[in-house]
Amino acid sequence: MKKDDNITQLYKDAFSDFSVSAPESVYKKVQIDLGRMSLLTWDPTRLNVFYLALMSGLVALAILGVYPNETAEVNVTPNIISNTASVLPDDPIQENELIATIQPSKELEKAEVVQSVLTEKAVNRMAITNITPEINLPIELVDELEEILIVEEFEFVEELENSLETIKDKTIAEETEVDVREKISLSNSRVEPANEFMRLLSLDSDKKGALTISTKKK
Amino acid sequence: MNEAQIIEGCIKKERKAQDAFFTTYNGLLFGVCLRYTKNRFEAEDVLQEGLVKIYKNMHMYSEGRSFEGWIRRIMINTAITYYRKMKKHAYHADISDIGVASSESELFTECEFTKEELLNTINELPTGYRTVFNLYVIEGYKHKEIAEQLGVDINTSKSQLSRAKKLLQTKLNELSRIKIPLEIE
Repeated sequence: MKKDDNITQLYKDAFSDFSVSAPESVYKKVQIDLGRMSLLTWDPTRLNVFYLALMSGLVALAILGVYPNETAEVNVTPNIISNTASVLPDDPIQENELIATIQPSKELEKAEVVQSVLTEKAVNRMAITNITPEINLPIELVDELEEILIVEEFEFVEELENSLETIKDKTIAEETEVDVREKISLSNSRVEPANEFMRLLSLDSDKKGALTISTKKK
Repeated sequence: MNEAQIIEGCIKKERKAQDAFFTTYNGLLFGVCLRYTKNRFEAEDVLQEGLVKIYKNMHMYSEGRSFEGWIRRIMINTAITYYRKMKKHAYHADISDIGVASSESELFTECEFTKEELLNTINELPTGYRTVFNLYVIEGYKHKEIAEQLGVDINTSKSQLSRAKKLLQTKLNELSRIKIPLEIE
């Protein structure tokens, strides 16, 4: 027992304030470990893996946000083109001019045509304005749409002019027909007296008033 | 930097405070590690692990308690954890294999041993003996506490302590036999 006490006391005295300097390499390793841990631990005041994930997400969103039209173009463009195919020029001056050129006799008919076209155009424009605010069209697509609009504008004007000419021709033709009919009626009214006159002259005439020389001898 | 500033800085994860903490307490903590391990390399591993725990859990230190006692306790627990990890591979030497010098046990009292020599004798103990001896003799733990800490039976703790003391006695006798002739000369 005494021997045990001696050993216990010997070691207790020796190591109660035992201190040995640790190498610096240990502290460097500790700092590396702490740095790794702080990166993996959520701390709002320090850069960590959560911030990195958030930043990566934001960058990804930003990249997708910068080029959303490339993906949207594939799906939307055909619809836009099909919609714009029937879009007509939206020039009030030109429209007024077109209306002014309509013949007074056919004004109602042309007004109906123009009104229907304008209604259709307004519907199409509304469809486009409903699409375009949601999607930023790329410059190339805008240019393409502008070209389509210009082409459609010219085609519309030509079509309208053609229709006006057709209406003019039709009007002239109708007026001509009226004249012919009047002439025919006038000619008919003159046939009877002419026949009478011919009969008095002993000349034969057919029912239409054409003179024929009779070969009969009275 | 005083103790309070070091603690406050370490809680805020300030590098200066961490540096100051290491400068102030590395000797004490490394000394603990050296006693619980077989060699210097193992001691460095335990110290590294323990320091990370201390820095990480500095906010859990409550004022009023001994700060040195608190960090020392963390380091001891780290050493015990290390012991448990190494338990499977530990060399369990039987006292009968080693042999005990009983009649010559008074010899070592005649000469003085340096701390380094005493440390070497502890390092040469089997891991289980060394741990129980350190916990009981140096730290002042009871056998019940040791048994709970190490996950062993109380009797195992008692027997390991007894065997550890006998082994140390033998080693000190051997050491004194070498030293005394040198001192006479």
